[in-house]
Amino acid sequence: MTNLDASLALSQRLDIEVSKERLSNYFTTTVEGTVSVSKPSSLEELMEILSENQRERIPFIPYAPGFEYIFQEVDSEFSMIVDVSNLDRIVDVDEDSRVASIEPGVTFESLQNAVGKKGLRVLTSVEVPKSSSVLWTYTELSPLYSWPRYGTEPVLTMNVLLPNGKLVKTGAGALPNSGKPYSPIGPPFTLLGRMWYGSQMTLGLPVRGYIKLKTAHESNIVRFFKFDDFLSLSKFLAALKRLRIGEEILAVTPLELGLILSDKADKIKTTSYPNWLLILVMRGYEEEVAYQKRDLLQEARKLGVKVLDEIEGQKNSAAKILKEIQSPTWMSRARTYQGGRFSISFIAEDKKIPDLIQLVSHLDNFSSFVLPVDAGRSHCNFAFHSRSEGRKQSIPDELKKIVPELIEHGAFFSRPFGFLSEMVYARNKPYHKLLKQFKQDLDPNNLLCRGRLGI
Amino acid sequence: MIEPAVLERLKDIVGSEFATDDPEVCIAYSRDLATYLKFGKYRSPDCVVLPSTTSEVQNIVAVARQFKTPLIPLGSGINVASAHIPRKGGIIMDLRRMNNILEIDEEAVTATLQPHVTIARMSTELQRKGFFIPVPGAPSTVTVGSNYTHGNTNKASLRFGFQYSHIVSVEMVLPDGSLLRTGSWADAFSGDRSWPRGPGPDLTLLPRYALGLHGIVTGITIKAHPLDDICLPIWAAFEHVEDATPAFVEMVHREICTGSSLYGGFKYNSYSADTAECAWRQSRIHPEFILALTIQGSKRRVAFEEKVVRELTDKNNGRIITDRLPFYQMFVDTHMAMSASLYSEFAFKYWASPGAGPSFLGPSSMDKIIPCFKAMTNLASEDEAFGDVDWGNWEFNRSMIAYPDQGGHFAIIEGGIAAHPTDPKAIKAYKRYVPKLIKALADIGVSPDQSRANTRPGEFGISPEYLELAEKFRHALDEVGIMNPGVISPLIYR
Repeated sequence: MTNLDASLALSQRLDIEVSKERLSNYFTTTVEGTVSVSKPSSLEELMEILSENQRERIPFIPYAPGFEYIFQEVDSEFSMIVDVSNLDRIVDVDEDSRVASIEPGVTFESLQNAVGKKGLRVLTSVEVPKSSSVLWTYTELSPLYSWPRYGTEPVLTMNVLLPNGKLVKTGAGALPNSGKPYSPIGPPFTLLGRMWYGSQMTLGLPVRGYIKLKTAHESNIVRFFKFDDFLSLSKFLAALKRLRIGEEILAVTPLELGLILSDKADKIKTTSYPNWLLILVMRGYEEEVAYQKRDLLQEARKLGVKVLDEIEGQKNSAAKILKEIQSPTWMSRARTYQGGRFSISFIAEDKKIPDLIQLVSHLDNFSSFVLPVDAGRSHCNFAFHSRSEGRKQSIPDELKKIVPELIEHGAFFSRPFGFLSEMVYARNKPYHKLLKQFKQDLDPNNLLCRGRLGI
Repeated sequence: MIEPAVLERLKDIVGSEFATDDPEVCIAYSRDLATYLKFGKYRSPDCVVLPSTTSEVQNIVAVARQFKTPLIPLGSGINVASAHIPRKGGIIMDLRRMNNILEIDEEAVTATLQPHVTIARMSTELQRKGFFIPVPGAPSTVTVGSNYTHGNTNKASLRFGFQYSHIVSVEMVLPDGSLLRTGSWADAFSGDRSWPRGPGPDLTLLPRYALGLHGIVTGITIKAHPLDDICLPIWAAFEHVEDATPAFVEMVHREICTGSSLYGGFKYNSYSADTAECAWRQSRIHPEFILALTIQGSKRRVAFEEKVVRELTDKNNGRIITDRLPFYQMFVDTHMAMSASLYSEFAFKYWASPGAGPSFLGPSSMDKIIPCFKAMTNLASEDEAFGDVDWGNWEFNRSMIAYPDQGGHFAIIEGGIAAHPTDPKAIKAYKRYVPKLIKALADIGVSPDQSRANTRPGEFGISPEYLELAEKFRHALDEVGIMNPGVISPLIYR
């Protein structure tokens, strides 16, 4: 029996929803093929699948809604996809603590709808659309619009299902008497609460997350700033960071802006847009936003930067930005623009970003968004689009050649997907060795995401 | 007793003046503020070694590993868990010679340093360049390396989060002697230390709450913050926890203020008083609850936040004390300058309690503040010693602090009944009181955090699945079992 048949038989034996599906339903890859997909509808079913997979040595990869945006390549050997879309319970929304307890199948859209009724909002991602899993988007460190204000830890604690089917609760969750297990501080070895971040599901599956929610404020104001180059933009950014203005801050090139503002990918106009546009959102009580507007205006005047309420020639642009942040759709358009999008994401010091752009700007339809994460450093996304079938094949190869140069010039690939893993870990051998050791301890048969990250 | 060959090798590595088994030296490393109370006797290392470089640390680890000799890293040595007191003899590695600030990156607003730079020194150097780090819940002599990897609270957690969230990257010597760097520092060639995540699975918190079991930190990059235009201390006083807490919760949810802690009773007195007698006198005349707040930012931000603080204080039957009685300025100064001075001697003694002692530290949520306080005080009032007005006097000796996380999604609550920890009557009372308190807290959904050496399994402890995984990783890192054996619990050492 092939592994595929074995996995089908296993799911049928366990009486769990299973189907044979095209690989391309789960990846944007052009690779053709059929795969067995198990869709557990409860944690118990998922635990059962993992235990049986171990017993029968069936390699598998997990899937949550929106993962096709994060894992664009088939970078793992597997015979089964375990799709957690049906684990979609919003277990609890604690209004006092502004915390939601959710399963991995819960999407941004469904959670936003549920908490909106309670005067709360969900922190959304720049890189994945509203139909994506909240929990796994967070744990995979897909950048959030709120990173500039709230940082990279929207998950407080989580329950992680290990490859052997055992469940481990992190932070206060490991203390059986914690009625509200929200604190990541708690038992010794804090590593056990942190190592799942960015693990690309190689070490275990977060099956419950306690995540931060924010207040849906009465006053939400967007402001825009035009720049000819990134260096001027970064000087202004530094001033904003010091004043602590802005819940969300995003810098975009014309194509990205066009993709955000257009309803359809084939109707994008970019000619009137500046080389770089900085988008800033202030949220709060009316009086709170009012003083921030005055602080902002004063700082902008000092630096000779013009403050815009709307993008020139673009009606309702502020409202569109707020809608996009609340309910992201941009990336689904970007994926189809000119037939496809290739992108790479990394962290870099602001002062190094112009040089990094220089290295790739010749590639087809280069565009970029930059999320200023902390003082002097940003999350960067460089994207390329091409209609030509030939170019679609060759752009990834060209990127592979350019990435080492990007690294040399200061790009840090903190999420080394696919081909990047090898390049990144070649420079971080002790780190990689330790990861392999932990992987061996957690998944001795190497069944979960086999081959991913080279561990 | 150390094997002569081990001592010889250590002397070869660091020089004969920095390695010794002289009992007169070793005895100095055999105790801390809580040792005697915890163990009933001093516990001495067999020898002491003081490396000055990362490669020396690596070589010492190799020797300990070769001879299967316990190795205990010593940072500040200022803790109430006796974390560096040898449970099984061996070598104490005192890191005090590794005290260089390696870099202050003004663009990334980070500092990279060796482990034995004190908070006071780091703060001073940063402030010279227009930056600051939050005042930790620890004295100024504590080192950054120890405090950021094992300290918990700080006085600005509402704006910045707790200590662990300021770790950007670490350099560690693992128990096999190899060198690990995390975050962007992991890239062996770039020299960039500004990003804490990855590459891939995030190992930056490997040393956090590990008490040396996962290796020895030889370098750390921490996040600092630009100094604001204005820093305004503003303290509000309340007579009842039912008034103070709603005011506090609303301020926290509105995400205003930089420093924000709810102090109940004895705590802030013990910080500012020089003697127990003085603290007790102060407790009788000072407000029962205080919100110790600082507002920082631009002139407009400070004006706005001050207005909100005043409105919420007024709405909840409180009063702003910092602008009515200059006398209270002494508390503000003590609080604000805690990192630039020492806790009072009494505060040290207060903290140096045996085991779980008079205090608990519980990760919790804001809505548990009132139930926690009531559980603690009700039990104390019923206790034959603490409830005795001529001795325990719980009404004046009860205390609590609540520290909120950024946005108040969770809070750290600590509390206790003050009494001198060496008083035999107090020791007896705590033994009676603490188990009852832990049970009462469990009933309201609060569990002591168990982050340090008082970790225990069982009904009121840590889940067995978590401990099993912790032990698996510890064993993977330190197969020989040389790193600080016995420090955490009988379950996590061999």
